[in-house]
Amino acid sequence: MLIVALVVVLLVTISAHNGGKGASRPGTSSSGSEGLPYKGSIDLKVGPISVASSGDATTLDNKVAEKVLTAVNDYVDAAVIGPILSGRPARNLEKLFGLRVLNRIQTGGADRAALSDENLPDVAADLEATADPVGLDALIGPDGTVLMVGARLSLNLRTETADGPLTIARVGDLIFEPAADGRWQITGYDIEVTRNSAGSSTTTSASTEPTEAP
Amino acid sequence: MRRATIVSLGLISSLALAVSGLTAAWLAGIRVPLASGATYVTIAKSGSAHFAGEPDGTVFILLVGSDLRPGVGGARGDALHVVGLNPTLGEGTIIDIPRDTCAYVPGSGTTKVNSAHAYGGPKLQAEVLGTMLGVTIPYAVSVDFAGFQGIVDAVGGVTVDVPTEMSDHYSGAYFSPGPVRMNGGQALAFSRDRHDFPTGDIQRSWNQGYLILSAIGQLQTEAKDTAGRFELLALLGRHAQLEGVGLADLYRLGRLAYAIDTAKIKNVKLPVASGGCAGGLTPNGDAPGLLADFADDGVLQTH
Repeated sequence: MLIVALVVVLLVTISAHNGGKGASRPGTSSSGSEGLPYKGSIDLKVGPISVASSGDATTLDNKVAEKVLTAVNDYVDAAVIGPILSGRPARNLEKLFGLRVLNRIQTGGADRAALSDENLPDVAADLEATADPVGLDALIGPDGTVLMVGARLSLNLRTETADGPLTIARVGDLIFEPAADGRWQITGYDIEVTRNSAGSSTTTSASTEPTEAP
Repeated sequence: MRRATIVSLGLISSLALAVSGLTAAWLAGIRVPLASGATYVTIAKSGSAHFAGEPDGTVFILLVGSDLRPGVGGARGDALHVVGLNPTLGEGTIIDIPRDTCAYVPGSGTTKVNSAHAYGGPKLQAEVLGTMLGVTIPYAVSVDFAGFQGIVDAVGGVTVDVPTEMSDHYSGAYFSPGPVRMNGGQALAFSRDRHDFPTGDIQRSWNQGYLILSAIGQLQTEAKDTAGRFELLALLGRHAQLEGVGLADLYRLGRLAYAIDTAKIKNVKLPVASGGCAGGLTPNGDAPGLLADFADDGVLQTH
């Protein structure tokens, strides 16, 4: 299938060099754009786009699609790749998430565990990433304004740790809405992540469906 | 194709639609095109609403079915349901209010509560019922006969497990017990039948709440992806009159309705007896206790 054919296999040229995170890791002082000890990033691509419109618009403007994709990439860099490689908590979440959901993330729990890869074993090899193109579902209002965009994320990571192979499979939807400054922020999600390490497997899911007290 | 496979949820009666804040857009299987530009439902947010994000407290929503139809003047609120959804407890309640229940309606005095809709639309209806129930109702959804049928048809119908035999030529309700996939006309007939029941409108009101729950349950199982949800929201954007509320708000409200197991939503009749105003009914028996139980968190712990 086309989608399968389009699957992007990305070898993240991020080396954990001396094997592991922590102060001894080379490069911790030479940070990337987010202050992380690497300069690479996963370059996700836009996949199939669907549009639900209550007006005349039938397509999603390319500029909006690119902005949303940028926001997805920023999320992956800051909340997923960064913590894995640096061993530090995810940073700049307030830029990624809207206020509606930021409190849920900052209080930890399943939401944070599903959305970020923190507190994992130190990596000891290159991090390999495989991702489907990011499908986008847009909701457009009567006046043509793009109100919300859902991004379908399917991202698989693999690396080595001192405990053995570590694999992380993350799949689900991120819901984006435009912020006042024009950036697109995550205001909702339905995410599930499965981590396999040292012979054990754990699955964590989170959703902004308010099924429990935030 | 997603539209073909995602079922036609059936939203529902536009009532349930409402509940899900129309969110029920969840569906995705729009089978019957609605008349272009026609307004089928009104969704209003009152000035007192303070909802501004993911609801983390109890939300009260009024669902109104008005009797507006050709040959009938006015637009009284003949189907009245106040839904309380508590995301923290994951539970909720539908209070079914008989249309003839007496209440104070500003400008009219104490009269049948359903007249508020004719005088001031869904906002006034919400204000009056909120006072009666002791809660603030920030959202109101109103649909008339044509809107109800049109939306149910548009989403491919709603399945209702009919609890008892119904055979009523007034409403056109002819159903045997068991699951029935109802089109718009059938769902309307089911919702209007009062002659089959000794308690008349009181049982009819409960049946309407039952249909709403059926529709929400159907919605929860048949439409789950973002694209499908957006499809219904777009449908609502085309055919709903939105007053003080946007599609993004409805998306979040819909998720709230979507998140609560319908088995944990009680459908309860407001206890009433004759009296209170001319030809009307007045809350009686355990009504005060029931309403107090409902008002604090939208959940009935002791009823």
